[in-house]
Amino acid sequence: MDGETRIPDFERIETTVLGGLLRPGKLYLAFVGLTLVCLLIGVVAYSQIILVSIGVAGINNPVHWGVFIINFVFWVGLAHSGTLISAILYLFQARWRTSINRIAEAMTVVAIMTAGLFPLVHLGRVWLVYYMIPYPSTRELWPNFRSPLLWDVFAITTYMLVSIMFFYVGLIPDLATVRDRSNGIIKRVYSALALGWRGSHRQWHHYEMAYMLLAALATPLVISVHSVVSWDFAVSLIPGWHSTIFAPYFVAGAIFSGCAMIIVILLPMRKFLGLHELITVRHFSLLCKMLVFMSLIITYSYFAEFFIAWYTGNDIEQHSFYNRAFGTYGPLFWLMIVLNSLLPLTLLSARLRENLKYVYVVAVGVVIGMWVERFVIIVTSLSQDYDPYAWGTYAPTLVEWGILLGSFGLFFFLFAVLAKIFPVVAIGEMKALVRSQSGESEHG
Amino acid sequence: MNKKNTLSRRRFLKSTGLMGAGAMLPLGRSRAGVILRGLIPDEEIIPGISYWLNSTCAECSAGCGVKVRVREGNAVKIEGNEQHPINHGGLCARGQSALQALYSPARIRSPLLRNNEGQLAAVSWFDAMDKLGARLRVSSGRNAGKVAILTRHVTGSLKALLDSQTSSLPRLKVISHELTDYAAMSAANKLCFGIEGIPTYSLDRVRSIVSFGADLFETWLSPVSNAYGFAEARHVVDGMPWRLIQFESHLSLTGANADERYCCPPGAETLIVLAIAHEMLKNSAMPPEQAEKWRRALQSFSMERAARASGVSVDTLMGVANRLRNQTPSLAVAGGPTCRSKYGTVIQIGVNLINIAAGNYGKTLSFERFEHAPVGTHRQLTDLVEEMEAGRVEALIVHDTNPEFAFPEPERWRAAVKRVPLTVQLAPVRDSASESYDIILPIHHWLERWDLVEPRSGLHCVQQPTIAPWCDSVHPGEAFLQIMNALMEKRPEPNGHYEEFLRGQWNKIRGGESANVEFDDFWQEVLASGGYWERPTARNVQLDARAADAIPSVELAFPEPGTITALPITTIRYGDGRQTGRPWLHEMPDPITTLVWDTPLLISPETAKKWKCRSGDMVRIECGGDTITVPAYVQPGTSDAVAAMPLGVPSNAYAQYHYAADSHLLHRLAGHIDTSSGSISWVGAPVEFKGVVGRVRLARLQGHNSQKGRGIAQTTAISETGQSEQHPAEEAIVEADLYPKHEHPVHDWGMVIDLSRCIGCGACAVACQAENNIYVVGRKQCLNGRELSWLRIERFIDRGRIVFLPMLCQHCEHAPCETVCPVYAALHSSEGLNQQIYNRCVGTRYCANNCPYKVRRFNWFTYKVDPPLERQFNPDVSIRTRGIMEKCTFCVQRIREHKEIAKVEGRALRDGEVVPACAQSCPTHAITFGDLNDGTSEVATRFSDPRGYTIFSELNTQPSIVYLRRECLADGTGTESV
Repeated sequence: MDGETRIPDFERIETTVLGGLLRPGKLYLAFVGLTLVCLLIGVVAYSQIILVSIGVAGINNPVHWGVFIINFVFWVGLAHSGTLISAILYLFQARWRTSINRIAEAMTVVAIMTAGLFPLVHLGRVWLVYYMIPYPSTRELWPNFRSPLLWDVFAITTYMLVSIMFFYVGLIPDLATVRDRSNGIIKRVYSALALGWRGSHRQWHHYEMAYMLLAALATPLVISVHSVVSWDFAVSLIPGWHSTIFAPYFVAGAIFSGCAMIIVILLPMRKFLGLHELITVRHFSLLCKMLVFMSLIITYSYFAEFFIAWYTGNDIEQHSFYNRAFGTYGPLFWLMIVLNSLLPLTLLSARLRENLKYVYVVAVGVVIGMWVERFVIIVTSLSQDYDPYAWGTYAPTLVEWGILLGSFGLFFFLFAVLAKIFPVVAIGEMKALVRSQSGESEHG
Repeated sequence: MNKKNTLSRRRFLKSTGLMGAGAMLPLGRSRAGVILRGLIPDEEIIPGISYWLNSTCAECSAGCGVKVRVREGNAVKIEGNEQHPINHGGLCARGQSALQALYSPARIRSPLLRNNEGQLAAVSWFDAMDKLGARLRVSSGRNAGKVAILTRHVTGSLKALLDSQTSSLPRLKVISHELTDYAAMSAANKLCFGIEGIPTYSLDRVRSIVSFGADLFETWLSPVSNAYGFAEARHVVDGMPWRLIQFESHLSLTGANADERYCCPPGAETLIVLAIAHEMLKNSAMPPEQAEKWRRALQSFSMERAARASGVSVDTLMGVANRLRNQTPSLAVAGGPTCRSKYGTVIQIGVNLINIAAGNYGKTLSFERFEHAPVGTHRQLTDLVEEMEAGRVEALIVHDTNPEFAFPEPERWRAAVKRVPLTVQLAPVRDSASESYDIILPIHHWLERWDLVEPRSGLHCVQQPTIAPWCDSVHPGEAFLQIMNALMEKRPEPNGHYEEFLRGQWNKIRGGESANVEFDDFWQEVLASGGYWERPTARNVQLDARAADAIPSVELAFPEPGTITALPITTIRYGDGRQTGRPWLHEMPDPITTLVWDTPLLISPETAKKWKCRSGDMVRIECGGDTITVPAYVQPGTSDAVAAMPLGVPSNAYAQYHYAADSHLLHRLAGHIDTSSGSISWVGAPVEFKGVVGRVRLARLQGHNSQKGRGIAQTTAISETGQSEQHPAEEAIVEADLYPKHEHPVHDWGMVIDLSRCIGCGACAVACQAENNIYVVGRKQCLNGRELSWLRIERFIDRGRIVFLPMLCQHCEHAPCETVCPVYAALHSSEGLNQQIYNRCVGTRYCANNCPYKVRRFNWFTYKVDPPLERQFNPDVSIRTRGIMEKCTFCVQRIREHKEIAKVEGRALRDGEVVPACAQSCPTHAITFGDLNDGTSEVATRFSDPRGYTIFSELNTQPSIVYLRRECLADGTGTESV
């Protein structure tokens, strides 16, 4: 394969990458327009919640959590792969990450921002959300530190701050490159953002140390954030939620969906920004391998959950899982199995891995499958828990679908904006990679 | 009419509102201050203090004693009067809902007169009465037609007034009419004993009751009294357990609580009653020649015949007869829709015979007091309709009843009304027929007036105003007096007011046994106790063998086997249908179907199979010549031979405050009349199935019928010899706690709910709703699963027995909701209460998810009530708005109120002083509440009852509510599904 073996020179890297920052084309504007329309739909839907009440959603008694919490977990999950690819793969020195880490990080930042909105959307009285922040009030009222929701507040904020920092630190050398190639007001803006980067040896030395430390700081967060999110469920006593497997299960699921989402975003970007030389089929193949690996973990978790439910001999637990597979929402469960456990297995075939269209379909399937997985976990468990008198069902309303659509609109809009103002591939790192590879023999 | 006259008349009318006696009574029909001045002197009214006024419920004929809580001029809560001999402190849901009629948006605000355009328009009292008087005078004369008064069941003073006037006015014809009359009972008693009246029943002394269709706990005679008696009887006496045996065609609440329940087609109960009566004659103490006469009359009614018709085995029927004979004192009763048949009187004669043979008179039922005052029969109403049709009725005055609803042929009634030149309605609230009258005169609601009622003979109960009448209404007695004065063309005398009459009536009562007591003292006594109870008059019964002649020897005609009969039924929710305009009742789940708002056609699973339909299908049926489309609901326990429908179909619109216009099956009766009593047979026309035409969602609150072996509702078996089953004590979970134990230094509130006493009537749920300002959310939200009630009755089956279980916040010591709330809106109080701080709640709803009992309720919207219903709100409980979680507080406002009272009085709280609304209203006293720290309190002793268990104890939530297992007879018959 031609694109894979040819090593571009520095100049080509810069022009290719920075080409994305040029004046927006029609296609770009159309895409941004589409995302804005989706976002607007979401805003209109949300205004219903504010103007009328949270009751316009389909959530009810006993399913008090619905699409909003599903979206929250879904977006937090998507926010995972960025840090995983940037930080963990960096620490493991998996160099292939270089081509895609910027996109992954940007995705993290945008996804965590989107995710962070959902706990607010979901509140009955969002105007009092500051009660959840530990601030010294004259009444000496503090939030309840025993509540997993409060842990969420901390986990999400921490993760968001660290990923923004990580994203920004990684950007500094590239911002300097943009600065050097621009003029006028734009030059001044990028100058400020580049924090006086000169590319001196000393600066590079400190930069790499800082980057590594941040990577080391971010790595445990990848594990902790979704563990904490999973504890929202695991710490409760709802059958189907109350399970020790939840933290690793959710982390694996998050990485799984994140990898899929990277593929979903990367493929069109590669096409429209002409990044074929930098992001090659090999990258997708490697991402697919990760996808398969995560899919296996997820499948094992599904199995383990059911096995443990059966093995406990606890009627209530058993019923909860029986209901998950064969109850009202049974079809969704089987859809989830197909999309998350079966389809990704086909990527074990190298031929299919290199068929990017097929990979794309599978990746979209996984993104949908992981959303459905959260629906299955959250809704089926709540719909039939302890007291059969209180059992019920839940169906999302248009408002909830509208807000889901709006969140995609917000995500892609922010992403498109970031892609327009920042280089989508880490130029500095790419150059370093190219140098090391051209110096050495050509192996992966 | 000159001005002077006008004024005097108006003033006269104005003074008609408030009746009463002595210095206690106010004289103006005016606003709250005036009323309260009469009752509690102005200077003594303290804002924030509740005043309790005794009165008597008029929601049905039972006449339970109530006390009404008045706060700042508003009546806010009705509770049962503990001193009252009828209800002993409990009050049913329908009685409690009277407040929603008092403050109903459909109250008639002023007199309405049909104007020239044919529209009802508001007029002044003067104009209305002037017109009425003029019309009555015009119609007077030699050949004057009749003036008919059609009234609801009235007793005491109003009845005395009407009786006194009819004797002097031959033109006047007074008919009192109740949909659920008991004419067959009084007719049978007249035939059997020469006593025309209904005896009072003392269920509390009973060891075995056999009920032929009588809905003892729903509407039958005096349901709260029956429920109380039943619960009192349910304990083992000298090694002998109680037993309730029910024969019925649809699953009633009474049947659900029965120890043995037999489902039989309509008509079969006649044969069963007569066969059992026949059997019991065998070794009764009756004189031989009398017994012979009865035996001859009953000879064709054999056990075999009854068994064939009912599907119940001969052995079982013999067993029932033996129980009645041996497990004494026993009681046989018959009632309900199937016993309102054309053989109604025959059934009642059979029942009388059984009670005589078992020697029950004087023990479990007696004529010492008569239940209800006599009411007219269907035949009398039909006579009236015929006279109206013939144009012989000049004026029709309808008092607080809706004949268009209660008369089985509404079209005929409407046509007959059109033939009457003057029609007047006296009612507090508009109903479906209001549009058809010429003059509508608003009368005081019973919570706004003084009166003397006598629901059981010798029990003289007081009704007193609790709020100032807020509509331009008068006392019905005053309105009657006015009308009669107009009829007699009399000028009103100075003493011719109803209040004077009423005072005279009370004076007469004092004149009996307490003639030497000053009236004021007597009156104080009456107000304090809710009435004056005369000593009962002993009456012996002597069976008259001539009654045997009433038993038809010919073959009885019953519905053909295989036909499905339409059967209107009375339920605890809507009773006889008059309370269908009350939002609380709409949202109270029917205990059997657990449906709110909807009243579908109840069919048996077998019928459903035959019709190929399931619950929620709209079925088209042909019945009594009409085709109607109704939702079907498959209710196990319904006989295959009936399709039953509760009386009172509310419109699905939220704001429906009047009688339901279309009661469906009641208007599709077969038209058979019981010739001996003159009442109409409720057993309706045959139902022809015409197909399923669609589907509708029914608002059912119970998510799943089975408790799936989770031990939520538990039973304990009682053997034939009264031995109860032993249960292992719950194992305390002793594991290291992550958090320190809660300290309860002063009080530790707890509750014990005795499932043996709970009959599932739902009075507690409505009491809770009234006390805690819980909104009615409407059918649509109920369909979405957004019901708001804090307390619900769950209905499960344990070991084949139906168990009703009130589920409310368990106030766990280890509350799962408390740990997960991020803002401490849910937290534990130092008194063991699980509190919800509304102002702090941000609405994450995590607490509700994490509650295994699912008792937390979320305000999905800011709900509203139609004014002036908000006057009912309890000022001690804050109103919640959207986005807030709420739940049972153990009535913390009552705890606070009594703690403050105790503090002011400088003493400790007494046991039993704090009673939450649910416990107070419970007709069977199933709920005990109190301080667990006080080792001598009732709740503390019952907490360790061997029957006790906590729900989901394996979760270690450590609830503050202990349930006592329902005692079930080991040999009773069970139910597989409900």
